[in-house]
Amino acid sequence: MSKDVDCQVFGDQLDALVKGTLPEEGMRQLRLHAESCPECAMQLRVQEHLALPSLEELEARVPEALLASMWSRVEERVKGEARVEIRPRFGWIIPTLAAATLILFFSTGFLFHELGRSRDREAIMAQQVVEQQRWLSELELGPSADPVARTAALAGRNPWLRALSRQEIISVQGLRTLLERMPGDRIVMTRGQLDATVRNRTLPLPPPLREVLRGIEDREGARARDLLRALDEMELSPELTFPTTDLIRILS
Amino acid sequence: MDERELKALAIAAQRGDEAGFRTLVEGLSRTLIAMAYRYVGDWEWARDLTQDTWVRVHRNLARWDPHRPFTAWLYAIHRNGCRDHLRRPWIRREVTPGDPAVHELQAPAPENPETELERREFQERILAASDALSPAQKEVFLRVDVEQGDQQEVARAMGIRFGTLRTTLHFARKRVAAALREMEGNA
Repeated sequence: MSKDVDCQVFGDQLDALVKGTLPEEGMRQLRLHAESCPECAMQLRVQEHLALPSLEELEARVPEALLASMWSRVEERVKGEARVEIRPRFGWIIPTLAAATLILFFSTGFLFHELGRSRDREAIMAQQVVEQQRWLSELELGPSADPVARTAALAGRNPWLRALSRQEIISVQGLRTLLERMPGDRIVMTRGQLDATVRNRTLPLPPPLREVLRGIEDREGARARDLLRALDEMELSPELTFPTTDLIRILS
Repeated sequence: MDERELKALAIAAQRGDEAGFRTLVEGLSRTLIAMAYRYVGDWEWARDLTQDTWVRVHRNLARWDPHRPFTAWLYAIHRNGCRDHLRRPWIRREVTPGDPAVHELQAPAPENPETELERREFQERILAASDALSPAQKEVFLRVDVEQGDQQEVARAMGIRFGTLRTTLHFARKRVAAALREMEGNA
């Protein structure tokens, strides 16, 4: 008989079984199922346990002594809480403290933000110093002891010009050495500088050099190897010296 | 008192009317104590939990939205208080059936103290077994089976469909039964 009822049906009918609202035969079959199914039997036991006493029965059984003392107990605790509240004349303290805390919080946040930005700037400057050092080493110039002063002094100028500006005169051999230390494809004159130099007749430019410069067709400008080639073609004496100001004028 | 009258009293209490609050306390404490008793099985604890609930209600009355039923808000606070109590077994009162403290309260004495003790222990095991449920299953199980709430009303209060509640309840009951069988197997 218990095979007629499965666990799903038992679960669906459990409430009706506990309340006793099912026909006699239905109740009998459900109980038979419970006898053969420990899971369903436990569910029935739980429901029968929880169903009694009902909430209404419990309400009727609440001891009157508990109810009689309830208000006085609640009143005592509520008034006790009211007594420990902050007095109104000190009520301004809490909003003031809250505002001060907020201001402190936001100013600390701002300071940390600014500190972070300063660190970023410092990192960029440090990177620039490293880059400058690398250029200087390429040009065989010793780095200054004060990296900040050096960075400030060299800012905005290319290493080629800086190298030249540190000496008043330079020999052809010195100029060649400088150019040979650079990577051959390093741009030493931009296209704009190159065109302006070739067009400007007032510049004290040796004619063979002007011809070499005019022959450079690179869109980006003159590279170190181009200038080396120009020096070769001019066949100048390596000891020949000339003021660096002329060169700087051309290259600036 | 119907919900409309309770709401009017709660609104008055919200505006500081102590008499209105007192009427609420005196009118609803019986139900709250009975509800708490279903969780803790002890009248004194039920009284203390109800008292805590009223203090909490008084403290938070300004937060109650008068557009919502007062009893739903009140019962939610009370239910949470009872569940919090169950999570703190170390503060349970050591009261056994036949304890003079119970007699002083003039509660009906249990017919058979041993049966009453067994009942209480089984109740505790059921509540412990409900810890194995998911939050949704536990909510449904406690509201419907432990508190004996009307299933339609519970579904409405929880904002779920009746069918969903029935399915959740079905699985919750199965899991509780399985956990109890396991407990008894280990006992």
